[in-house]
Amino acid sequence: MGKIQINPSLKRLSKDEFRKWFEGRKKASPKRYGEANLEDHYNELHPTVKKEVKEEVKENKAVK
Amino acid sequence: MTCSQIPMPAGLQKTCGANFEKVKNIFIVDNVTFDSVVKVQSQAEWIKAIREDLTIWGGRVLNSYETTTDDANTVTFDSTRKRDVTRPIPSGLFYFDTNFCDTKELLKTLKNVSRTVVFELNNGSLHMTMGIDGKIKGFAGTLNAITKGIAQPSGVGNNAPVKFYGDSYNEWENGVLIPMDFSLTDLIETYSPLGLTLHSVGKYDTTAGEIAVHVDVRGQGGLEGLSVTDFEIVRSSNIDTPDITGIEIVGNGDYILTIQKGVIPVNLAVGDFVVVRVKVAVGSIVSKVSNEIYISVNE
Repeated sequence: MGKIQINPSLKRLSKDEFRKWFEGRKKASPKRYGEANLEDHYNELHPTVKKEVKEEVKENKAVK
Repeated sequence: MTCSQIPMPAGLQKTCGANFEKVKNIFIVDNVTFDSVVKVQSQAEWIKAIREDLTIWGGRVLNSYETTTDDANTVTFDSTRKRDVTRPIPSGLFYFDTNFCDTKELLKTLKNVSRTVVFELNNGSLHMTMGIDGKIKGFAGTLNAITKGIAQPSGVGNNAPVKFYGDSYNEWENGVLIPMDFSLTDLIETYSPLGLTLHSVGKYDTTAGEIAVHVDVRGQGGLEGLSVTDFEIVRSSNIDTPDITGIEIVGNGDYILTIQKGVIPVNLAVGDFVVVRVKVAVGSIVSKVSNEIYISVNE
């Protein structure tokens, strides 16, 4: 089984909409999406929030 | 030789400064128009068309060509006066040096399609036309590549001749010859994206919403390392928000695309179609591009 990638265009979905879509994928294509983890893929689509927080923390430390 | 009255950078030319030399190359352009001679002479404009807009291609290895325009139909009247009663629209037959995959690609791409063409002459100048709106563009016509199938004993240049049939005599009457200080052939060679071959493996599965595809570097092996955003839907039947929502990277150039429609995506339905290609770009600059494949959804 190869690596699954979700199109960043799906960032447009709210978490609930993404969950509904993802569960639909699992049902429609269990072979491909059955083992896929919703949280991992959702977080992959929204990486910037995490990154910004980390950078902010680093900067604050540097000031101290 | 009839001189163009179009102002050149050197002013209005009462004696022809640009020789109407034989054709060195023919380029196929899609909706490329220029507001001025200066813009035609701008390298940046052409480079943008080649590697960003993907609106110019072809040429590079024109082997030979024939002008196949009919002779005018001459009628002799009772008084023995002669008059030409037709103005045949120009046409030509172009032979490119093509390897096997170029031959296949030309045959698949140029099937009596309406396109515009620009001719580069041996002295580097470009033979184009000017519309009544003052815009400079290629000559409109129909292009058709055709093969006799079996490799020609006369050499690689004759395997996929391309026929060009012009649409309008007026365009030729209003032709412009624009001197250039760079070679469009060289620009095409330097800046054209790498060609890929994309084909589907099987049909679109309406239950899974998926289709298997394979991507080769043209004439070489499978291309790995593509991501979901490297595939694009070029056009579709009239469906809302068509999208490649997911991809499985199988390896060796094999990919499984999840193709769906709608703001909250659902699988395509019977009757829908999408046209897909690979386009690898950094910003607006395209480094790799494939042919387009038509994926229709049948019962």
